[in-house]
Amino acid sequence: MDLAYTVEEEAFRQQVRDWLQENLPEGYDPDEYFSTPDIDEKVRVALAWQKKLHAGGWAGLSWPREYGGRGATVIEQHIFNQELGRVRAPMTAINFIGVAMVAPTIMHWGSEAQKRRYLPAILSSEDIWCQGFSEPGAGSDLASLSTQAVDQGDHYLVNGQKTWTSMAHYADFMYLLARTGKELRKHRGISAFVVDMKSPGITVRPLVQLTGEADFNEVFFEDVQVPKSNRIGPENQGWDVAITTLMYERAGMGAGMEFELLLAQLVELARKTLRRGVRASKDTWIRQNLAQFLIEWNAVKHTDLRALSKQIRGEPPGWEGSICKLGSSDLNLRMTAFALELLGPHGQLTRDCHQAVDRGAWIKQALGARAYTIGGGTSEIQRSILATRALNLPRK
Amino acid sequence: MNFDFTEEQKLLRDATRKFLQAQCPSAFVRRMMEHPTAHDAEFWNKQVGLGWPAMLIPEAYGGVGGTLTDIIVVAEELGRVVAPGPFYSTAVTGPSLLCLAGSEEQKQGTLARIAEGGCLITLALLEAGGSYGSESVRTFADRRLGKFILNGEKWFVPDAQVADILLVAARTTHGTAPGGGISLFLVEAASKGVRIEQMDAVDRTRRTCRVTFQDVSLEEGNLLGEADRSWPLIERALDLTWVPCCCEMVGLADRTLEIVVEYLKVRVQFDRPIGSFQSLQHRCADIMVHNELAKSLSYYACYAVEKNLPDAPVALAMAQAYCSETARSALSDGIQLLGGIGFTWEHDIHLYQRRAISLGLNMGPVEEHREKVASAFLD
Repeated sequence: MDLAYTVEEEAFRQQVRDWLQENLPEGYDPDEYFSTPDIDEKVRVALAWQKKLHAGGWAGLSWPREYGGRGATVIEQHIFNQELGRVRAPMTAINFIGVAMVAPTIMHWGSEAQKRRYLPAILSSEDIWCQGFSEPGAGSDLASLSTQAVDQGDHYLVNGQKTWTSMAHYADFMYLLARTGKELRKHRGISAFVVDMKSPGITVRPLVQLTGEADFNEVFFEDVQVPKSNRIGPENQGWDVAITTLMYERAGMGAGMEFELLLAQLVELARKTLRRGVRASKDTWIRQNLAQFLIEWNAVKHTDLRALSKQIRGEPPGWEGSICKLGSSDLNLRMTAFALELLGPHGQLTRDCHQAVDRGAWIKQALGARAYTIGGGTSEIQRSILATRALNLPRK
Repeated sequence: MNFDFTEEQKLLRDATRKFLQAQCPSAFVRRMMEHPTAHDAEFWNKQVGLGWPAMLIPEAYGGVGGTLTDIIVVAEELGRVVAPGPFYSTAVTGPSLLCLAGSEEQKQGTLARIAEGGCLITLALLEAGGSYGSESVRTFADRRLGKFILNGEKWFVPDAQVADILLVAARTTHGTAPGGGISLFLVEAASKGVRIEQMDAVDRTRRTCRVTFQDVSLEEGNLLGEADRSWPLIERALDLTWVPCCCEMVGLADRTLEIVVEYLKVRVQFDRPIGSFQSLQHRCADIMVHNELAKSLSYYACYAVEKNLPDAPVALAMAQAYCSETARSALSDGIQLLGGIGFTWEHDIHLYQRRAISLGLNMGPVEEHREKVASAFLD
């Protein structure tokens, strides 16, 4: 076991740090940025930031050189992500679907023409992508999706509805899964497509979440024409294409720096909050709880590091992705609920209230925390995956 | 960056697992539960043959100069079979203290004996209060005419019923600052005035003892290291001991999950294997998640303690807290999943539960580990 970074890796980290220090948007205030309800402004800043990263040569860091990336090592990508997280850079999520999910999928399954057309614009953030997987009737059971793509000779005619589609209202393209073989068994009759979001017949409707924000959308397709050349991979092999993508999604989730920062803020909150005239951080029950959060976070972080270590050695990923997601999403729920307990009546005050502690960040976090045990495969689905695939328990 | 074991360590794991599967089946473990000392010389001698007690001993003193990471590989495997034997006392705590504090003569004299299996050694530290911390050491060694006269009582001394040498933590000066005034003595278990009796405890496969010292006369040569200054060394030796104990708990929890999963696949109720029921599947998945997280914390603690990194105390406290709770809950949930058969004496699962409980409690309460973490981040 050797968890030290090499001299070269440390030099790389310093290089990233220096660049970030010089290039973060002027007057950038992460607290304000992440608490603002103004999504348009958030996206504008994020897009400008992505373009700056691209100009600085940091976009697609770990992409192969032939596709315009830097061919960075796994560990360099890890260091880069850590440093972005440390300064709480503007949301990289804006182009995450393109860079981390669509691009690897196109590299693996796409035609030469598709690679040439889509990859450079993903890299430069000229094109923003959304992902059309979930439907009202196909959530955890994705393969039961019913959006139709009917072969019309030179194009497919798409009809149906997608939901929980992040970024759809800003996206130039959608990576769509639709049913092409109605008579085939459910996993086998699906194909993957690139859809131009400006195509006639597409309606995007924002979906307001329980937090009051609208990060998601519903997308309706009414006789939308999608050229044949936009299909990714062979017809009816969309499920395999999607599996490739989901593997990358799992690899991209896991243990983020933002968690460490959130915990540090929680510790700070306990230090500054008075309970019955005494600092909350002196209270035994509070100390025990905070310690438990710190312990569990470190457990997730080290598990993520074990996965990274496997990846470096070129070994196939184990179950760390599901484990880290289960561990961190549950921890997030308990941590943010605990913050509200610390705050007492103050905990309910929201951003627009001038008296709100930390600009109402904790109630926002506490409400939003539920998203992580649902999105990207619910905790129940993750447990079923572990039980049936890792532990080989029988399905029937 | 490599958060994994070396190829040699992986081979060591395979060899250890094979050895223990052959030499330490549950019938043997159960025999040791009924045995007067829970110690089987033949089984121990085979471990000596594999070089286990020599692992942490430098080559210059007849050891193999291994690392703490080698030790945890073995420890995890010990947990998987609930192996009896004085592994921690004689292969970890004892040699560590001798290396840290011993004079050249003491090292020459004792380390080689330990390495070749000629000596079992243990640390006598806790007292009736049962709490770690230098202030709890009341056993007193009175310096008189170039000798030390030792009086006091030690509780929870592991493996003392078979030990040849007791390393006794005793106060030599009163009224010092915390951490001061404690010395270590190398005491032959057969010395006049030493009385050893086993304490009945939940894990009969490893015994714990009460040792009383009544006017035990010791020479200067029995003093291990400098007088009054042994506390930090004791703490270091304990850290080195708790790391593999955490890993043993991971081994217990991992094997428990395997036992449970094997059973759920074959036990049929309502015309289907009960492992197909989601409520049971999800409970197994939760055990797996906790086990893997515990593993990560214990491996990291090993790395930090071995390298003596600044965050070693916190990393270890995290592992202790999480591994103790994980092992205990894996067993508690595991028995629930096994149902009635899991609640029988006949089923081996209670051997694992007993070991998990005693290992955890030996390290002190979880609340104290958590407080250590809290104070590092909050104060």
